[in-house]
Amino acid sequence: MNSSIFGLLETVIAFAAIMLLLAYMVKSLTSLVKNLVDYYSGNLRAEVERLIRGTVGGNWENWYAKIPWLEGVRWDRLGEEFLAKENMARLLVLLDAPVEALVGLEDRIKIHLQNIKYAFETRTKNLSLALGLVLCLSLNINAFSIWTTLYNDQVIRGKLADPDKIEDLLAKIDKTEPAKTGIEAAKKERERLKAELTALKGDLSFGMGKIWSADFPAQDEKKPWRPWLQVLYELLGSLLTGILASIGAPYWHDLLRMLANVRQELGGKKPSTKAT
Amino acid sequence: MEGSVKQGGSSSSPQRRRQGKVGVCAWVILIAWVGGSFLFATLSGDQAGQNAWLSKYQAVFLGLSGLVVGLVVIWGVLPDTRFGPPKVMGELESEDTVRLAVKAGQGTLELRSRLGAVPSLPITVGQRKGNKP
Repeated sequence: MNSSIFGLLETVIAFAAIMLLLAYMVKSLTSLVKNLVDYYSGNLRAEVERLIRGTVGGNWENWYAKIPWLEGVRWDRLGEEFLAKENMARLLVLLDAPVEALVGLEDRIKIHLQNIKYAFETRTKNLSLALGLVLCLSLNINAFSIWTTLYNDQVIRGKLADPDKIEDLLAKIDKTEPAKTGIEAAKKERERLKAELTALKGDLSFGMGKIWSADFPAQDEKKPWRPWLQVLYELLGSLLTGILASIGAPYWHDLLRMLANVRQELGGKKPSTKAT
Repeated sequence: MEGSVKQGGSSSSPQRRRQGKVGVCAWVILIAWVGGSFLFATLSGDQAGQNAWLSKYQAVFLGLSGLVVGLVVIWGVLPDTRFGPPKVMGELESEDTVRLAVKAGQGTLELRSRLGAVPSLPITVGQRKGNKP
């Protein structure tokens, strides 16, 4: 009974370790795309537009006519500080806004700032989900296969759930620097990601990329629908992995640390006291 | 409650038009991808390497994967569909007045409230002097 619980715990730990690794890959990919496609500036511009239009009406052409320098504003170089009350009040006065229109401006700006934050965060989460799905579907990383292999193969499970390896993985991820901006940084990030993917494919034999092999699926003359079932299995498994990897690295990180400590306590060892 | 005005023709700003094109392109790519994959699946054999690079099963997998990813991208990531420049062109001014920022033209006034959907109203907006809303 105790050994089966221990086996299950080890399976969950190894599964969380793999998901953590995948989640960090998805996070790196998301940072890469986020840096290359700057959608934050679009949101900022749209909210400034909405604020001005709500106060004085008109459109960008009308506003450019009154404030020519507005046309040369590089939105990609501005942050939400641009939406400060003083800046906006000055801008609206230059656009002939009546004084009474400036009453409650600070509160309106807060709403626009929240809109920017919401739009940016939501789109980043969706981007992360899309990239996670692309990664797991293209490489055919199947969560069901990973779980089954870990549960059945004691050797692989033992290797992945090794306390020293877990500590190394957590320490490595704790040290990971956030992605820097710029083309050079993006290229380095891409190279690093490529290396990690190659290492992952080599290290883990969980049937990754199985669907792309020439002998997929196994034919069964008695059950002609069986190959379609295998396709469905691979599709759902890969979708699940994509969703789990996109949920967020912090959750897997905390879960893995907690489970590693629980296992050490069950095994009678001193629990880890390393800070996250 | 928030309102929006859909107008035919020239009412949308250049930014919205550009983003609309991105959306249309995305739909075209998605349909081509899924359609192409399923077409490929009908022409392919059971195993890869027999008649084509991909087997029919792999082509179906590719098509369905593209469908899922494409829908996530179109609904969640592309700017013109949900999280781009605000769709709201009208704002609630008081309890019974909605202030609209529209140009002259015809369109449909859509109103949404927390109480439920309100039937859309066909409207015609005339050009005023000074282009004020």
